[in-house]
Amino acid sequence: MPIGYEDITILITGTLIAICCALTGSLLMLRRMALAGDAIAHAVLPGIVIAFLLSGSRSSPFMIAGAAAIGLFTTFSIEMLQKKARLQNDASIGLTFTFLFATGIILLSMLAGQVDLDQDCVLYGELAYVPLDVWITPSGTVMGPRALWVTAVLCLLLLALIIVARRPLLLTTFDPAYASAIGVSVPFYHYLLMGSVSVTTVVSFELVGAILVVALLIAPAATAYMLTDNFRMLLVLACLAGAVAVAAGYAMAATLDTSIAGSIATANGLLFMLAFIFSPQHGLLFRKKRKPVIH
Amino acid sequence: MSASYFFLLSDPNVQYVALGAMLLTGSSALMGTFALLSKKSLVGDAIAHAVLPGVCLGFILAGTKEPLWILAGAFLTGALSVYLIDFIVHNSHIKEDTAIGLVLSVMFGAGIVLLTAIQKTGNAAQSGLDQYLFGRAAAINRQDLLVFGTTSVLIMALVIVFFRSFTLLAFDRHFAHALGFNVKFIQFIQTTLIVLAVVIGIQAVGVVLMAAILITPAAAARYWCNSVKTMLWLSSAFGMISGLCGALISYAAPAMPTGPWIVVVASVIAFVSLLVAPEKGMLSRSLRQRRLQQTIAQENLLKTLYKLGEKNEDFLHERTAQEIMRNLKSARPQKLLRQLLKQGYVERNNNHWKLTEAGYLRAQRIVKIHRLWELYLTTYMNIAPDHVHDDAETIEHLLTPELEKELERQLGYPSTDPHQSQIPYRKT
Amino acid sequence: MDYAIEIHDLTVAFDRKPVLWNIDAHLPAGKLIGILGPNGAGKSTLIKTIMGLIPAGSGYVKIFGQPLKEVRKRVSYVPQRETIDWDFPVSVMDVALMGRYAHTGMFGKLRRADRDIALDALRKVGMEAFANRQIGRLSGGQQQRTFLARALAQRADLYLMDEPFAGVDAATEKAVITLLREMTTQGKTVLVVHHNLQSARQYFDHLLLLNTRLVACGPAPEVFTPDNLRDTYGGNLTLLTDVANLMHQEQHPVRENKLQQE
Repeated sequence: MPIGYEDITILITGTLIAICCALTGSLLMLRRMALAGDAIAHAVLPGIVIAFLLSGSRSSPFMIAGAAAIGLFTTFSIEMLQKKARLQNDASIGLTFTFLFATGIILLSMLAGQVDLDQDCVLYGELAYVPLDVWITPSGTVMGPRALWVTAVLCLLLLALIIVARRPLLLTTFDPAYASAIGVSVPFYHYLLMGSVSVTTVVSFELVGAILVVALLIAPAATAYMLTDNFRMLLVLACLAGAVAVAAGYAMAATLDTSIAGSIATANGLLFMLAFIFSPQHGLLFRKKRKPVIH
Repeated sequence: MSASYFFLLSDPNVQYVALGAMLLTGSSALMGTFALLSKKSLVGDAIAHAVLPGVCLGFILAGTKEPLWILAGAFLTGALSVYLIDFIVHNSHIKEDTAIGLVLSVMFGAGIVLLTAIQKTGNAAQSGLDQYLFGRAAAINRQDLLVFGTTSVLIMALVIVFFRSFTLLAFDRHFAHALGFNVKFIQFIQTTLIVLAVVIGIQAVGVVLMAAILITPAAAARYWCNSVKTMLWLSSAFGMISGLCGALISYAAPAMPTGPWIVVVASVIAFVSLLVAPEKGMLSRSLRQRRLQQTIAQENLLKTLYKLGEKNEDFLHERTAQEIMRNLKSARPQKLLRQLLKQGYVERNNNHWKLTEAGYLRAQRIVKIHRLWELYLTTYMNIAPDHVHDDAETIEHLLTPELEKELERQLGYPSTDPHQSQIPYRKT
Repeated sequence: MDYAIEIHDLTVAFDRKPVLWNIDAHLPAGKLIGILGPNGAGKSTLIKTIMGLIPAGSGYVKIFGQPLKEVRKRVSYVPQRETIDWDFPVSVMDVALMGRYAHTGMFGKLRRADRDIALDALRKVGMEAFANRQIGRLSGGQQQRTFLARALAQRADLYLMDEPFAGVDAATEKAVITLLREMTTQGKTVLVVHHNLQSARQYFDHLLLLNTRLVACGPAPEVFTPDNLRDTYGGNLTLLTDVANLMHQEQHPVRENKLQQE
């Protein structure tokens, strides 16, 4: 099968999304907040539907802001349920995201016909339509696929954030007590990260769907975690794993004529399985031989 | 409106749906209680998502939407997800939350791949398979009812048989092991039942929202009781109410999806519970704080009146409100005085106020505890006399009569506190 | 006399249950100070409150005569081993370099000199050879040394260490104590949460005996008496425990004026 312009557009957009997700997902994993990421991915749905209804378009900055706000709201309400209502952690997460997601679905069916968004899009995303939605400036210049621009900008922003704030991000993740002891605001970086996760989720949402965002967030990070003991390397490998999964998943979807997003998630799972079994350091095959060095 | 609802309920189709939804949500909530108590509620979410590829595989193998094949497939992949999560956590340094998210999303992705592939084959039998995503409660018929009924009865029966084991397992695994329980076997039964509950529950609300009918009714029930047995009753009742309401809403407004409404109703029950439940609810806790605050303020006023009388030993002497205010830090002394008047602790004579006999005794007790506690801190805890006042200010409002006696006993009924003030005892 | 730490009428509660009652203590600068007490005595809580990690219910702490905010850079903290995720992808050198963050700030450049200081700290604790090793692949003693190196790299004046000898081999314990002694001779103050009574007497210049309340605080020879030890370890004051439980149960405020908060 020859690779055409459309394939390349889809692949580049997919890779950019995968990188955004891998960067934020790695931090979530190290903070043991993978499931908070899962919750946010589900919970942004009502935000997207409402913003969609109000602004009437996709990818508008308005929509991203609105959905990001609801992502932060999710984080906040999970914490409130735990602290104020004293609900246990896992139940707080489960209660919050199922409620918000159900509300989103109900809104969708109430507004059916008014918004160009349906349940299929919610689940699978529409990566295949990326080349069709073209950004045209008011003066008439054709700038190429809009999603490509949005994801590229997000990717650059996230990379900049992680490079600039790598030290506080690492420190507040690794040893929050020491971080706050030397005067770093742990809550600030917590909400900064959760905000980034929300924005990433929203941008990825319409391209790969609500649940597969979770695969892109967590699986590449887990794969990289099997392969390295170095923080920087972890981020690089996670991006790489995400990108490889996008390419492999896309090829798989084309061959089997099936969902692109689902195939990418499956490819991510397969990559993790390989790393889980064959990783030289932590893999299943080599794990038993290694013993901690005692002096 | 009420006439049309009555009409709805007499429609056998509506009865099937309502009854079916209630059976599904009720029995799921039962297992959800144990999932919640073992802090495993999100494993339930993973099972729910992981069921999708099984549904598709069941369909592919059977070639039709044969319920038995589909349920079997769903059961297998659902159970597989639990063991995968366990395996990953035990054989690598990957933490549980990551393992859950990984298995959940990847298995769901695989399910989507299979589902899309099936849909594209154009097999006419496949239509409706995607109802497993968001539930197909509205399509429940008589035959389904039989399957759900049997499964629910099975789950209920096993919960009764294993009630003690499940409870002990959730509460203290190691103790269960030490008692000689076969922890692995019980765990296996419990996991199996949770998977079973999920597998039949997805027919009501679908894989994506399944976690809610597992966790949410149980979480709501937790606020109302302190015993596992009551919690089981309550959570399955909450589950059934949500199922019933969801079914009715979607019948009243046919465009409305049943599953999400079931979840929203369950969530509303949970939110109401966490707000208004007695004891554990947020409102009752903040109400208790306010009452406490009021008692402290009132007792401080009584204490002020008492201390004003200490100089000349004229405790029951009348004082002006101004004199009281000069000696009391309070934003609203008039209101406090009125409250105390109502309770019979003070008496009023125009602008003059005086302690009643009951008020005098209560004030005396507070002052006594204050001074005893100061003495306790200096003797037993080596705290300097100039640092004991603040602590005694709070403790004086707290002590129970038993602790008060114990305090007197341990200190040997002393006559003065560290600042040489008299410690007043009640004359007997 | 110069005080490194002044603790003033400090009360700390978890969920309204007091775990430290009215602590008053002055800790001299330039000494090796041990905090001793049984399990649940509030030793770690005390250190964390000094570091501002836990809010105080009442009272305050001054460090070198100033509030913590003013002297953060001069204070270093070594957390308890169990609180660390040892699978975390950082190397020994990464951890030591974190000590320099207190000086470079979160966004400032790490200069060559900072690396030298971190490396020097690792050399002092004998961990130079493991600089690139991931922290999970170390023995308990080496892990503790790594975190000590981070504290050293911070070049602080006051070191707060939470159970540095838990799960550590005898050789490490000896090496670390020698190092801490050396530091105090250079005028540094070291505060150590310790649980071994036997070694406490010889290790520390100054002792703080704690059992939810302050039992005694002073030079080791004066404080280390059978009477004080019996007060510290000889069971709790049951009345105090009952009152603490009652406060938790009734959600009673630690101080009257704290009622509206939380």
